[in-house]
Amino acid sequence: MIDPVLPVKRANQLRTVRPVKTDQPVTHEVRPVRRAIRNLDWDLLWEKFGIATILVVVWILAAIGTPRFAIPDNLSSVLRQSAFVGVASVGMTIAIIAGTFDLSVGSAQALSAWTAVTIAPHIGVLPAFIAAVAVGGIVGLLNGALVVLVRIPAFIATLGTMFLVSGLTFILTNGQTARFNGKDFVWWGNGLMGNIPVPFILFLFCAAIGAFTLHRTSFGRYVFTIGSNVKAAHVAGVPVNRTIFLVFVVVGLFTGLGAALLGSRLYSAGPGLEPGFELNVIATVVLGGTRLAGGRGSMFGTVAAAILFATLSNVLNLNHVDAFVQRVAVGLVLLLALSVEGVRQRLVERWNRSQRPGS
Amino acid sequence: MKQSPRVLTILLTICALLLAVPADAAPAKKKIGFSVYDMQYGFFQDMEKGTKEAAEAAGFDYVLVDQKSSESTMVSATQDLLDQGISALIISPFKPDALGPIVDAAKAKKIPVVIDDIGGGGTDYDVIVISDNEKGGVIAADHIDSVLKQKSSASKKVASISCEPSAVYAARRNTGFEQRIKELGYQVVASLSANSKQEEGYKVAKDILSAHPDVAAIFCGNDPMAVGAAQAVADSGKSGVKDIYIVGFNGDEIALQAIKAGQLGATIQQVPKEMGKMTVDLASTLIKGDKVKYSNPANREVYVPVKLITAADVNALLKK
Repeated sequence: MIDPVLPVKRANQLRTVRPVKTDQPVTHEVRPVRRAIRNLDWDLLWEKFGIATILVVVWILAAIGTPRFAIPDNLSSVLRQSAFVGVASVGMTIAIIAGTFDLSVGSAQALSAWTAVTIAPHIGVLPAFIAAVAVGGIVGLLNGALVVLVRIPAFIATLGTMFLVSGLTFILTNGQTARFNGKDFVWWGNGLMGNIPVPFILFLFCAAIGAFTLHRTSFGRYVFTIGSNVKAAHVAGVPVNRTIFLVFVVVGLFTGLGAALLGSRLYSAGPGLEPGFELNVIATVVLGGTRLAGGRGSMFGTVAAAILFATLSNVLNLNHVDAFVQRVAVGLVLLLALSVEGVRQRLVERWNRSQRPGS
Repeated sequence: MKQSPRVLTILLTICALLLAVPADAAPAKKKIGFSVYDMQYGFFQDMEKGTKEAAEAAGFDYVLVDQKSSESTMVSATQDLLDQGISALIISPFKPDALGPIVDAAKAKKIPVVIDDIGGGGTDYDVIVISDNEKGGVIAADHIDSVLKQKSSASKKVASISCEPSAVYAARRNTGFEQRIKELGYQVVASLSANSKQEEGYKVAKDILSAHPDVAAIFCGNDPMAVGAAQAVADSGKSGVKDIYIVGFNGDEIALQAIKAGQLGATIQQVPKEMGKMTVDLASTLIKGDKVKYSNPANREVYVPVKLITAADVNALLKK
């Protein structure tokens, strides 16, 4: 992946005039305010809560500008819709923080969802969910083995499993969609607890587990360390191979759970369930503020980003925006968010440089 | 992440506040929602045009969502339609198998569901609109009969090539054709499937030609197979119009081009625009609470007429 910091650095070297100083000379009155602001870690605040703030702003604007947005049914739909990409994004957040990623989640999703829908009528809902999660886990094991043991780069290894698993799904399903509308089964994807959709509650639960794993376990510390600098992690005695292997399994497990929920939501599942799912998942994680280069990221941002994407598509639908324009809009939001990220990094660097002589 | 629970609480509180906002006042005009399969395809663009024009002419507000050939988007986008307070839902489903949650959600809101083509997925929809496939087969048989009568040398042997067996609606085309052509005194020497595909249509037609070199006409369940069959006839040094008369089904661009080039006799055109118009008529009947007149009450089907397209019509169609 391209390191976004490099072009920013180059741009800073080329720049000779600092616009902050040219349009507003520093006066004595501003200094105390600046000092107060300096005490806050804006960088960290933005990284953690930036996308959540944008989400809140978007919700307020949508509620004002779109007549039928802020009604319980619609908000439930938005939250429900965020869950299916969201659950898989929890695993992907961990993978991307560890400096790797997984392109096979779309194929794994189709196979897991099909497994759940096919066997749920025969062996019950809970075993079907467990089987779907297990199928995801097996795909994860395969990815982990290819990356860690066979030493194939993650991009190629997971691209390979993507084709392999999707082909396998077509063979197993014979191209046909499985269907099951048992009440106990479809409740997981369609049910409500109060006004809150069941899959969204499960999504928050998964995100909480993900955040706990990242911040309160040694596995989580290893993930951050490996993502920041894999060589240093090796030297520091971090079990790099074991951790990366586990990361792929974790991605698979979350993907499997999300898939079972989607199968339940659709009362059905077949090959080619959601085209471009893996890219939606990666886009969600990146929009949530996790660095594609690894080492930094937040589960909270991923949750906010998943809701933001679901909100965007809902608001565009409510405003009858043409499907092709919708694609453009999603692309623009992603580019805009990442541009803000780039600009922010540049500002942080400039800020740090301006700090150095003073302090 | 230490601060995140607090911010999460704030976020959830805002959500709760937003949830508490009451629904807006009922709109003055009734709204019809159409969830389309994929606007990338000409067939659905025509269908959408017919639906939109009819809805606006009947005084409805009209809203559209696009499923973009994804079953997940089909369900989420259609859910967005249902949440907007529509009075009737029209849907041409990308995957009929995933119609379950949509029809259930619509029924819970007492919104009637009109399905436009593809299939009903075994759900509790109110009505499904499809082309009159069987009648199309009958029209093809009558047309072939009238063409062959003008040729003194033509045999009384014809062949029928069908789509894949799982395409139940398309199978009716060949059923209608075969019944009618037998009534007219012809012999169906071969009735085979070419799985809707052009290359298989070519192969199957080659086999038919070698087994029955004197076959006078071939009817195909869709246009790609008809174009494939026409190529097979041309490869054996004959004409798909003068020697062995070939008729397709759909009115696809490739078939119109082949008819224009004199390689294919005719096609039976489906009229998606008329189908769209029909769905709006049915939706408005259902909104009023009136009973629908089904063409086939057992499966809640309503048929839309199809058209015969020959060399005389193609120029006008290709200009569009």
